[in-house]
Amino acid sequence: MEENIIECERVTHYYGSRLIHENLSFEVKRGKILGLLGKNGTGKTTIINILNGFLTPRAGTCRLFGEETSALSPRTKARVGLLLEGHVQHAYFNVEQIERFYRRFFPRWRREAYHELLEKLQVSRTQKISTMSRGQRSQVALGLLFAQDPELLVLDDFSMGLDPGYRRLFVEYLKEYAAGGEKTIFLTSHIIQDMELLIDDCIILDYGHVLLHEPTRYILDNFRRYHFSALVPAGELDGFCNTTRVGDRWETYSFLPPAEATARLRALGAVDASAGERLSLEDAFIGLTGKY
Amino acid sequence: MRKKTIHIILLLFITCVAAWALPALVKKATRVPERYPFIYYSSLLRELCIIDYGDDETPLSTLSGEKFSEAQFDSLLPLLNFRQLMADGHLPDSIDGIEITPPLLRSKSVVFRHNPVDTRTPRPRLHVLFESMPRRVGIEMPGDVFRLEDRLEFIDCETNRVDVEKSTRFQQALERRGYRFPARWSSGNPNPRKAYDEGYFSLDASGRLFHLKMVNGKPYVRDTRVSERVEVDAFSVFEAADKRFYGFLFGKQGDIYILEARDGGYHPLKLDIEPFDARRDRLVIMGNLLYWNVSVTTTAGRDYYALRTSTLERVASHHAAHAPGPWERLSRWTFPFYLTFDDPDSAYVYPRLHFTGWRGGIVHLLLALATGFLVPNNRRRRLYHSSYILITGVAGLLALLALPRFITKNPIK
Amino acid sequence: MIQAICYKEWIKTRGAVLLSGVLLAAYAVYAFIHTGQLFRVDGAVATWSGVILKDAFLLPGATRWLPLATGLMVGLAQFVPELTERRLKLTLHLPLPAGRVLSVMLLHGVITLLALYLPVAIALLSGLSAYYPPEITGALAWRALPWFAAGIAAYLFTAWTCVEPSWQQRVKNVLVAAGALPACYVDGPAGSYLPFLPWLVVILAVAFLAPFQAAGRFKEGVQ
Repeated sequence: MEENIIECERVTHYYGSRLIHENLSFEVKRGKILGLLGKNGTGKTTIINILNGFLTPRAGTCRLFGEETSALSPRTKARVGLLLEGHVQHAYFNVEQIERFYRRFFPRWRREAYHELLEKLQVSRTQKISTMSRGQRSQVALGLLFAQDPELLVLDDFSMGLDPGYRRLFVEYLKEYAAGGEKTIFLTSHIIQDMELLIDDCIILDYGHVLLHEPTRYILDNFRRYHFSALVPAGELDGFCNTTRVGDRWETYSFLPPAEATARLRALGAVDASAGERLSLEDAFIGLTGKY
Repeated sequence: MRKKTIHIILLLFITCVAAWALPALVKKATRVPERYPFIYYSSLLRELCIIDYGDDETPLSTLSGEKFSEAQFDSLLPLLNFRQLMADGHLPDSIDGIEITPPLLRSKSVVFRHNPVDTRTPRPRLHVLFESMPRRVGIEMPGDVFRLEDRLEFIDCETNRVDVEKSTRFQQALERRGYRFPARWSSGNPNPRKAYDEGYFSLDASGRLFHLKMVNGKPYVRDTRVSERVEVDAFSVFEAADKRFYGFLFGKQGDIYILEARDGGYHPLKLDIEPFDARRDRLVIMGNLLYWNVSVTTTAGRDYYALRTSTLERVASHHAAHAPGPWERLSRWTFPFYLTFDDPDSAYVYPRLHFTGWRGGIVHLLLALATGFLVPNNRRRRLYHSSYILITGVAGLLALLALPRFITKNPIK
Repeated sequence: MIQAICYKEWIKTRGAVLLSGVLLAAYAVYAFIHTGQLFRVDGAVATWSGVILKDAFLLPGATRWLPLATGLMVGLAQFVPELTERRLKLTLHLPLPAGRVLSVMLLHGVITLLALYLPVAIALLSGLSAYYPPEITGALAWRALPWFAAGIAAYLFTAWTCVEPSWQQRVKNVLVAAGALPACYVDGPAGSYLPFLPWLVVILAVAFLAPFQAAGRFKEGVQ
């Protein structure tokens, strides 16, 4: 069933006079795991805030389950699991208290999902969340989300402050959670490596606009890097992006089929052009957005 | 509740807070006491004289401007300065043909003050009834207090219990004299530092003024019958040293009387002064053997009267106009209206709106224009803000500043 | 769900509530010791006449500021955790209307404070009525009432300030609170606040509404 869980339409937002988004539109279909990538300051958290109803954009609307995010009904809020940046939770509770608190709000509460996750942590049931490590806290937050069993998970920078072990753990749990195909996940992360294993679709933000919105597979399969030497300085390369000089060689990226790409490069005067190199998502991200 | 409604409620609330707090601060910073000359009637010059204790050379001058030295001051006002004259050995034997002695002068001295706040203050609901003629020197605190509302009850301080026997005794005494309960009010002078005690004057349910005191432990109750002649508004008990009168009676028509004790009766004698508003005007009486010096301070100024002690007829009067102080001058411009919670004329706390005149409207207008033209915001808000400031002035400006979105650099078009 | 919110508020505030309770209880005990001493040293007659003739205040000086301090303490304990790390987002994301969540939180605080104040007030008034006639205890109650109201108002203004998302606006909110609270501390003889009671209710009502304005701004994402 092709149903839009998230829809954003012509969202424009400024902080003061600084433009963050202009006419941003996208949608996320049920069952998809979508990663929102972008450099610092491109407005990832802004989108998350708008989606959760904690920011009213200057113009445009976002809808979750067809409801405007600025006025989500309690029913819809119950269907959305929210992970705040830094795995923020009610840290004055202990492990048991926080479960007792949340379970009253959600009729489909899966207590065992929470405890299953928590049993793997070296924490007692009476340990206060504020005394836990970042990694442990992330597991508590995740456990609560799984117990809530929401149809949509919105995760703001889930990898922030986590060591590789916890990051991998987090990703694996999320994959398992989404396995049925009925759950939708919208997430941002700084560490793109982790996302590669997880996300179906990718939105790459640049300052003020969406650079790309494609399936991850498509990017990994088609986006390639090329190296070459040039006799004359390379000008505007049509069909290529972020052409930069690295030492005495040049580097460029393209979605073009490799044969066509090399042909074009040669035609433009490139010498010694390499065959298109397959990229990891992180390299592809850098290729698309540049290093700076 | 809608966002806008809450915004408007907060705006009005903060405006009220600012209309109270800011003028209160400015008032505190600028207010000086009202300055009126001290004026006293000279029994020798037979006119009102201005006394300036700050002036060592010529402390005394007449209203026409004639000045007198310190020595002349003492002897021209012998009734005011009799203690100084006594110390210097210059006290005359007689004034106006009346032989004077220090005890006589002392017994005729009357000092009485009335403050408007006395009329508007929560009245104590418990009273202390002294023995009016103590056998030993000095008045002693009794061991009980009494309440006089729908009945009269004495409560013993030690036990916190009603003294049934004493209560009954006094209650019956009141009833026998025709006192009708519940009492409207009772007024006494519960200050133990005096020679004798006249107890209480109480207005009963039918508007009659009764006198209640305790003599040798027994109730003494009299219907003063004053109400037959005067519509009684308030009464202030005053134990005069010469026992000439019981106190000051304020009539509802703005007249003031003393209630004289003559032939075992109660006789009101009117002070020959202009109508007095006990709720707003301040009264100071400094009486001596021959003349009473009365000053009445109103918002318009201070009226001085000299009354003949025997008849309370006016012999001289003078008016000093009120000169606005820095606070008043400033507030006329900056605060055309402001709020206070307290008031010099009342002990009660509640908001009072003061209006100082239209002049401050100019400030409102200037602030409104400045807001409309200089404060960045969209047009609708500018219009709304400047209209609000036009009405509410500085207070409204502060309230708008205290709330978000008064200044919006990049308004949505 | 409302119970769950109250549970959360209780977990946050229990330390502050306990401390406030101890302080108020200590205050009440001290008030009794103070009164007992007055009666032993000065005697009943002098104490009574002090009240009747000089309008003496018979309770310890702490009566003025202790309610304010406890209101502030409970408010901070309840709302600072919501403001740090913007935890209020979690609270407002709960499947309840945002207005109701905030109402429950505020009512929880107000009821907590009443539960702290009322027993102390009742204990004091009933205990002191052994020493004093109802006229005197009544006057005491009237005199102290605005101070207890100031405690509740301080709590609500604290909530307003903490929920407010922008620091600049928080400072302004503190200034407004600092301007409004002295209205509960105008000096006057016992009973002089009687005509002010409706206005105390107005102040409390406005103070109760104010956090909703801040929450609205929080939801809009003001920074």
